[in-house]
Amino acid sequence: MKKNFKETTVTILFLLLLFYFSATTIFSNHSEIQSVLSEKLLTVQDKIAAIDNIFNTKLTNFDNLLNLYSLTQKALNTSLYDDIEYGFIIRDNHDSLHFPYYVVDTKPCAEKTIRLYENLKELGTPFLYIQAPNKKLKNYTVYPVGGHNYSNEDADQFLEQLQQNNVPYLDLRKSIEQGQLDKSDLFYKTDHHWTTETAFYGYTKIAETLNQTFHLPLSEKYTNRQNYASVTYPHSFLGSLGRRIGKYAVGIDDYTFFYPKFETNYEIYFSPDPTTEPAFSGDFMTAIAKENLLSSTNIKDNKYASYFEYEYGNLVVKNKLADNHLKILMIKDSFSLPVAAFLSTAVEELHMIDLRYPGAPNPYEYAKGHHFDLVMVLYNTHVFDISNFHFINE
Amino acid sequence: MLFSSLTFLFGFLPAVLLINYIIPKKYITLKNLFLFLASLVFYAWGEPKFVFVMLLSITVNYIFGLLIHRYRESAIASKCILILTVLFNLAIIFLFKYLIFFLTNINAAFGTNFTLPSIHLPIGISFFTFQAISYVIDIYRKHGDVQKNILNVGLYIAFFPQLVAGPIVRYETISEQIQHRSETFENFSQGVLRFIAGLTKKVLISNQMALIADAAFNQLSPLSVAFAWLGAIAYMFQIYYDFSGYSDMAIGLGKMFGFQFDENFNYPYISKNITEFWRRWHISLSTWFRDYVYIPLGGSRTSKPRLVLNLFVVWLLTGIWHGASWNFIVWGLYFFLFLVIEKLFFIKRFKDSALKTILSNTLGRIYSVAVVLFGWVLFRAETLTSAITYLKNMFFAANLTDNTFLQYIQQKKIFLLAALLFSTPVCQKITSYVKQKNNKLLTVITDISSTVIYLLLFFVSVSYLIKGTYNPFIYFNF
Repeated sequence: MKKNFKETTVTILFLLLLFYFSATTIFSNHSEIQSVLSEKLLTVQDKIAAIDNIFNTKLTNFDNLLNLYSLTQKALNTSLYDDIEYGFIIRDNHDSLHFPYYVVDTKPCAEKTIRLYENLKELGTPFLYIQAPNKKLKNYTVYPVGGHNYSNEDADQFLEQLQQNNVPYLDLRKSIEQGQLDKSDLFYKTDHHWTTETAFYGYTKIAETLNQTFHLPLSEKYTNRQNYASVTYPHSFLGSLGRRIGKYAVGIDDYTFFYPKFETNYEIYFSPDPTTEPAFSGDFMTAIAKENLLSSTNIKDNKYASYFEYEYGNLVVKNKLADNHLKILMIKDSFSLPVAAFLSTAVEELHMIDLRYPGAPNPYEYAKGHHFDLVMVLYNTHVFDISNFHFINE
Repeated sequence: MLFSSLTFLFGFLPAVLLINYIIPKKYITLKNLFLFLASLVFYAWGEPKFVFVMLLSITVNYIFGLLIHRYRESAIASKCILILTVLFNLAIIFLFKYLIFFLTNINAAFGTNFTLPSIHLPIGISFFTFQAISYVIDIYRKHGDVQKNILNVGLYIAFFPQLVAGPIVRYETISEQIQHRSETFENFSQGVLRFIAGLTKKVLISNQMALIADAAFNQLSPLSVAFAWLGAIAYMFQIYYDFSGYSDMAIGLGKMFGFQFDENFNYPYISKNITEFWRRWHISLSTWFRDYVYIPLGGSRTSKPRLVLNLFVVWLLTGIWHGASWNFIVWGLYFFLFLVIEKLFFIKRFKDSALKTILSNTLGRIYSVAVVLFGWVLFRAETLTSAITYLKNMFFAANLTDNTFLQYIQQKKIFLLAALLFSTPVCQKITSYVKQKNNKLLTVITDISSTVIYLLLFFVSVSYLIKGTYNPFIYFNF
């Protein structure tokens, strides 16, 4: 073998890689680079930051390199993945990924919720708080040393405050814990959300509560699992956690989509204004399901959002074939997407407000003007931030 | 711009390499002009306005260099110009680096109320200012030719491989190479290997150690004894792999462009005493102080009191050079103390004794590492008070161990082991063993495996950069 085989081979391959990555990155982003450089309003520092951002986020083979990272971590048997934004991502004893969750002061959030309940009570509108489950399951999930997630403690504290003030609530954590679902299928491994099966189960528990506590019976037709078909897309979904560390860390999730077998017809609006045209209309698969996400072969596409696709500040779903006149306001977060889809089959009008997004009206003012049969808040602990609890103008 | 950034690796570096090698060798002035302009872009990437500080330094030192050359016949005139030049350079560094520290201490000591100016520290100012001083002193000493072309001075001071984190390249080392350097494939390929080694050190070891060290030194809750030790050890490795990694990348890049820089690190943690440690650690700074301060002051061939004074001056300056804070001053004087003890007592006393063997080997190494480790605590802590608190925790914290310690041991054990292993010349030993054996098959196996390892390390380092893992820049104070 030639004396300088190592030097020659490494150098040639290094240069090839350097120029390949450089040329392809610049070529595939040339229009963006050009617009950054020619933009007169940007300062030199802004331009530098923009160019850095292109190389940091749009480098050729970004996904492959990230997957190499996940492969390295797997080889190292890492269970706390370093993460600039969250500190670390946790891999539990069942090879499922978690965001860390820190202790928050839930008292101000609880006070806002209690205030909403009391104000709605004066209006004669019933209220229900629904606690979405957390991925960290009692007696099941074990974290490596150093991994922490205090969401259950926070939720306990929050619900205790509601209980002390007689605010009705439904703790889906308990329902799911006592249910028959396989614990390993409750959540996506690579995402912090519940699976469609779990969300459907949650929906049935909500329906039970509406019936038993609020005497708002939903027809069994809409809550019976047998009346829904499902389609599974194997190895098709890399969730928000998996996308941060690559696909080899814990693998890729299957995604299952439920849809009604019965006939449906919807009109969906971005506001309650009766003069506006519906944004989407048609049956469940046309108005609510997002075929582009379901059929996508890109594992990074957010299949979890296949119900409604985007989250909006305000969305009004009108069920043209409803067998009742129930009108519900749901103050929601991302856990609500599949639940809202299922609930929309069972009520005449489902109004949604998501305070995290622009265009969200004030929930109490909104409720005053619409005479709802029920106002519900469905939150998971990740949104326990006072900005998501501004229910009343104060 | 950082070497360990995707913009540098896949934007700046290929562009500069390509253009540099498109320009024919015979147009060396054009090459130098291009490399100088590229270096300005590299520097401006971090903080564009500070380019003007560097350009001022280049212009003034260029003029002073010419003046020294012109008035060389007059010893007094050339010495005066030299003093003026040094004062100018020290004034620049004082203004940007030490003025706030100085005024803060004046206000504290004398109860005055001088307004503290809002001055940001230009990155790498200590490195390029020391190079500028080296330029004029070497011309004065006739250790290099004066540059008639300002671009060449600019290239020497601002050349991007060594601009922000060294090594401090002496003018005498590089003066010839500015005009006549040899760009060969052999040099280039050695540079590539060296660059990959440096990138790996920085991204895969130093940055991982930084996570532990920062967790320990920034911890608000009480530390356990075990985690305090782990944090200090992690910082010891972080600073070594970061600094020597940067130096490797700089030396490698220099080779890619035809320059030969002197070595800056030589496995300092295997030293058997502190004197040896400073011969192996940041060699370019130690030799700079030795040649431009220590020896002119009289060096070690002088009376004991004078020797102590000379050492004191050098180590006070070394401490100050590292940053405008009492931590660094105390850190410098801490080493002064050990060096004086070694120079005056230990090394001589044990010269012919059996103890020497023991001291210079196992015990010597333990002693050196311990002294250096505690020194790094002084260096890393935000203030002297926090350094003392940290040192107390290393021995007297309420808890012997805690979950944070276990967490980092569990998650980073491979990196810690790698850090420990590669701080010794293990790779060198393997290479020389293979050479010694002169076995064809063994050579082929090591050649192929090391080729694969180099490429793999490059890819894995890039994958860590893609992930956006922790990538601190620790030379802000320098």
